[in-house]
Amino acid sequence: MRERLVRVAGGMMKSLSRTAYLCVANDVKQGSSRCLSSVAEPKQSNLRQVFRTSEDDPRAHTLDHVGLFYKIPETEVNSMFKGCIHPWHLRLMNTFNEHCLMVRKPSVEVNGYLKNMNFNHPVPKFVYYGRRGAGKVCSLLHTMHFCARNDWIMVHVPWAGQWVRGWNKEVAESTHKPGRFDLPMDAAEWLSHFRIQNQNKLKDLKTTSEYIWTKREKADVGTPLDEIINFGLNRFKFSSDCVGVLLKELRLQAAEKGFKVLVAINSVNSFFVPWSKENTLKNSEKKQVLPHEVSLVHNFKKMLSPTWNNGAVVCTVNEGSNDQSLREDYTPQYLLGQEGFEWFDPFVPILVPEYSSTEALSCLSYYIDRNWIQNEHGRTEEGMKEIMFVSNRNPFNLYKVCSSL
Amino acid sequence: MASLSPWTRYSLCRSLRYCRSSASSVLFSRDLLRNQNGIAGSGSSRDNCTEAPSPSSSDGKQKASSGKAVTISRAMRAYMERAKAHDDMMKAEVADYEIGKRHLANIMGEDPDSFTQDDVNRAIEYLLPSGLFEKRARPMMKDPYEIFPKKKAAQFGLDGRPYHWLYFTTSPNYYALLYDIAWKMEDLKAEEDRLAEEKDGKPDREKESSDFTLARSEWITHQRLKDLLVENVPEKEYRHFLVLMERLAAHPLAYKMEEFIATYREPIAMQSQTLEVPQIEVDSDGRSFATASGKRKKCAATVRVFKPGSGKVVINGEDLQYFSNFVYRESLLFPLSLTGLVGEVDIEAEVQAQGGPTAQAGAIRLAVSRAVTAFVDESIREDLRLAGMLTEDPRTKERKKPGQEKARKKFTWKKR
Repeated sequence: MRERLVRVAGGMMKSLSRTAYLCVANDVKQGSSRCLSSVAEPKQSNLRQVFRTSEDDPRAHTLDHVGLFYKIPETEVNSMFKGCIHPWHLRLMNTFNEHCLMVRKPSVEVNGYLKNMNFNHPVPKFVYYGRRGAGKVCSLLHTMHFCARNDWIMVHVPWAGQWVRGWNKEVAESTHKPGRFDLPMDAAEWLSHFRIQNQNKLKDLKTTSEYIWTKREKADVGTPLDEIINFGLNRFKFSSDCVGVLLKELRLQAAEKGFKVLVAINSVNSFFVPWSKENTLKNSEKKQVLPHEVSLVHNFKKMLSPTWNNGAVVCTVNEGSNDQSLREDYTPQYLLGQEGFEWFDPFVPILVPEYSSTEALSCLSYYIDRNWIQNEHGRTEEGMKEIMFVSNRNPFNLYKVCSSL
Repeated sequence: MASLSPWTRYSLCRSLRYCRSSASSVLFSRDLLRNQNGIAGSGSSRDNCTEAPSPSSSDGKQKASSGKAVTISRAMRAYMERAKAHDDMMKAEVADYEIGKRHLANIMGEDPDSFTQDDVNRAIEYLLPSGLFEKRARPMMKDPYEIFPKKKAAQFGLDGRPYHWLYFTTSPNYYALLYDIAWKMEDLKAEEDRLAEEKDGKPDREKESSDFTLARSEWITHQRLKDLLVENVPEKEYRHFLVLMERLAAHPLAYKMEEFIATYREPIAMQSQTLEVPQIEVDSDGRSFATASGKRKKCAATVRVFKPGSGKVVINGEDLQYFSNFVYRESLLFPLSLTGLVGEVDIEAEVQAQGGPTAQAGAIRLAVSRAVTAFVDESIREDLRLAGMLTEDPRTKERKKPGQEKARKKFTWKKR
């Protein structure tokens, strides 16, 4: 069986361009050298190494690993990545009985920057952009995984678009400032997400100023942040304010206490572009609530300002979060709009391209390995070429094409 | 010749002209020449020709120099009158045509002397534009000999005797052909008997394996037979002809009659051989490419296929993302996967963005298939054709009819 697979791989290599061939060959070589350091990995090279790497630590990923899948441990999927992976992707991972991500060049690049960054400067900002389904969120996940392994504190928004859309959502007048609106449920949901993601990292963090919720309730100086979160979860009315407090404390203490904060926001353009569909947020007077009037958005926008350091901001911009009329282009400048662009400036745009032929081949090999492609023709070299053509090597389209094979 | 009366000379020239123009009128010219010979033969000397028959003679008799009267039958006289009238008419028409052509050239501001029929067609299309569907219904100006039907020459001599021995069957050429076939058949039978005697019942094996075959040709069509015989052949008679020919061709010794059979067969050309294969060109970067265009519904596409390539597709400056639905991408994939060129060619397509994605994808697919033929061999080209990749889809939107809601749908009918 193994011999057969290797032969297939050889055939594929022949058809690839020379650079691609060299890349794979190079990796096989490196894979064996990496094996020496890892645990109980058999020394001989097999086909698995063409699309899979045994290097599970994103900190060790280099350009040599680009196009290879690495496995995320189950514990991290249930803590760090809970609620982060897109449902279709999570379903696929569950079907495969393992949680694998492909190492791709954009995230390796960003991780490299984060590794060598001088964090005394105001927060650096990176924006992943690219076509729909090109793997922006997966790149973000890889960066998050990298930071989580480095014990950074995660401030992650799985999908910012949720905060500007309605679906009969509860919208309350802000308790902190009139003219702003709270989303108690969303804020509470985010608080619990934050708590799960940063389970053991908030122990010795305490507030640095006094916060008065009501006449009777207040948080004194030195209240643990855990308690603030608990308060927000118990009293939904103040959950948005708790988020504000939490973010403010993180900003203030990041440099002082020496912990690093990663702000990861998916489809950050929803913070700046009003959503004017039927399901837009409406206040009690049935008037549309604009993004900047939402207290959650207001608080998170402060995380994007260069007023603090010892952290990093990595975001994605997403066409799908914009109105139908504002989806002509996928560049950050277009999607963020004038206001968003000015707010973000300066930032490093990182293009997430479609799969290269090596990456697409690796992905298809992975799908074949997982028996996701069962059609006999789909497993041949010719069939793979056809799948690549029809999907245009777009990762999501590749999945969609293969899901019916 | 110069001594012939003017109309006879003219008709002779005409007959020579027909001789050049088409095989079907050989019969006509031959008959006419025979007609002349008949006239000459009837007299004793060449001088008789000078006094060749003239329809103007009232009594139908001519005095030959020998003193013997040449009788012209009434039928012949009537024919001659008709022929003269026809020739006069044609002459006038030709003169009209020539002058009209010169006028047209002047209107178009071109040189009348070098104004060809192609120029005439172009001028007519420009001056009298017509949207009529039927091409033959559109205004035209052509040589009168192309427009007026051909006339059959006289089938009988001055004495009223028909030349052809089967004249009174009313279809002499047709029955002569059947007669020929029947006799050829008899010849073959006799030959077969002779061979059987010689070889002691063993047929001639070596000759049998000669390349006589009916597979590469088909019997001439009904219309073609009519043209060939210059006679009206009814459908039933045509079928009779086919039966006889089939019988002849099925004979084991039919290869001996190959030449005869071949005159009534038309070769079948392989469709893909008749296709126009685009030329392979080389661009400034030294890459070879072929250009082709295709149509579907109202959409037209022009495509350049580069080989060698890496499977890159550019449609109106975008990549395959231009078609969001996989169905359309698959339709582009089909000609490539059939020819085994997936990932080996680059495609650059320009398509009009009018019409839906189906039309656009269909137009691009047709153009790609046509362009790809430049890079593949004959058999794959034939595969492409058989798969329908090289056939233009003629279907278009049906027009809406007045009094109806759509093309076919009727308004709701209410009783009152």
